[in-house]
Amino acid sequence: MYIKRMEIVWEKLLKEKLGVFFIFTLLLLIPNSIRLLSIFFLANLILPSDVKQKRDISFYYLPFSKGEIFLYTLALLLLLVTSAHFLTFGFISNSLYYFLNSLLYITNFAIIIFSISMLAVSNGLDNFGITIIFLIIDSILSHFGSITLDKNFNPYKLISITVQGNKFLTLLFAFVILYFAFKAYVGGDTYVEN
Amino acid sequence: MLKINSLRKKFNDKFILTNVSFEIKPGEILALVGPNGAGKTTTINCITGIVKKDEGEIFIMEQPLQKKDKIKIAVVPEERNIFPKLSGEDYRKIWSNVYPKWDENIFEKLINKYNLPLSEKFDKYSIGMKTLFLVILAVSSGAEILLLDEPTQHLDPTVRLEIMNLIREYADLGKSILVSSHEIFELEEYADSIAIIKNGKIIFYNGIDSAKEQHRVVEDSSVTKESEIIGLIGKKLLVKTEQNIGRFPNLNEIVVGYLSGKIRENIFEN
Repeated sequence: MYIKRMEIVWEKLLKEKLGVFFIFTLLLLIPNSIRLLSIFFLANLILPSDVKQKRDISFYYLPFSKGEIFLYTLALLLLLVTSAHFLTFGFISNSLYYFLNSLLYITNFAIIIFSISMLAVSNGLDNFGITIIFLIIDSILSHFGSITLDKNFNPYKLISITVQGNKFLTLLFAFVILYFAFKAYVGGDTYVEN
Repeated sequence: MLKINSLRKKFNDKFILTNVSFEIKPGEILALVGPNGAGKTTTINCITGIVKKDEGEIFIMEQPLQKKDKIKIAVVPEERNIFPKLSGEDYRKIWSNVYPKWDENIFEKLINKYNLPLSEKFDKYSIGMKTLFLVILAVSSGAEILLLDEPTQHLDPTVRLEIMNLIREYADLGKSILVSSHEIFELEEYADSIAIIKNGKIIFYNGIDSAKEQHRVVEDSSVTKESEIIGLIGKKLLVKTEQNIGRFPNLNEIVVGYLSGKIRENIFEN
């Protein structure tokens, strides 16, 4: 039942934002910084922009909950990002370690940008502005020190979205932000209470 | 089937709903009537969950309204552009998948009757077509409760009449229907009961027939001590009484009487 409902939400999102999805999904196929830029835009446009303009309300005239919509859109974002990685990996490297490492990197990046963006709009702030500020602050904080345990040790580098000194700690950090984003959106003052 | 108790909601420290209570039984159409900004749409949005209520209780089939109950509620919202980029066919697909009691036969019959183009995008529909299409989706959903915000707005007179009959027939299947509308003359044709809302508060709630029996339209001089003055209707008064005085009001006069209150003013007087 939930799969069918997720399909409906995906189909609606893909049809309404065909141009956006087409362009950024194509750009996702180009690795490294272009891929990250595409993830940045997709994560901001897939749901947060709708929330900002209160277009997500339409879902709630139907038997959908906010929690469902949050999770279904995140799932679509991750599907697009990981599919692009799978499709292009063979052209870049044959190393399984590199494959998994880079898969984890872009997954963390997508979850964190989506979460920060959702946190922003759920609190009435601009999603693009806040995610850009977040990336600037992250770059500054992760610029100094190292991830090795010496006198220059900078623990933030381990979970920084740009550096990701430890992918699993970054994933943990991503889930923490995701939890707060979910709570902020689902438990917000307006719309559906669940 | 749908019961609302003491619903309250405030936005930015301003109370939009202060005390909204009513009940809609199976087979009943309740008309929620009031001026713009009175709280009609907020009431509907609280029931759908689009707006989170601050206080009060909402019961559906004697049980507190829960997330899973949303499949029992179909809505024609005030905002007609639900998914503007999707086609009528996309809407059909969405509605038929989320409402387990969806009736494809009814949907097809109505779409063919009104010749609505399913392949066209929704934002290409005229405002009347959008209203009609959303009403068709609602009555095809098989939902136990319909919440209809101005369901006859922007429709041709003949289509209005047919839609009113359609809503009546749907209620006769044992469904509960809440209609928010400004079209008071129309409501008299198909609604069973009325709730008048003003400044976020239900100021009158009763069956339409009982409401007419309990009130009279009288001249100032005819008012007796046993009559409760409700409000002004032009130069006459609406009173609540058990005495056989004046004449019976129509629904429009009851609504006007309750909403206008007792203060008479002449804006041309100095």
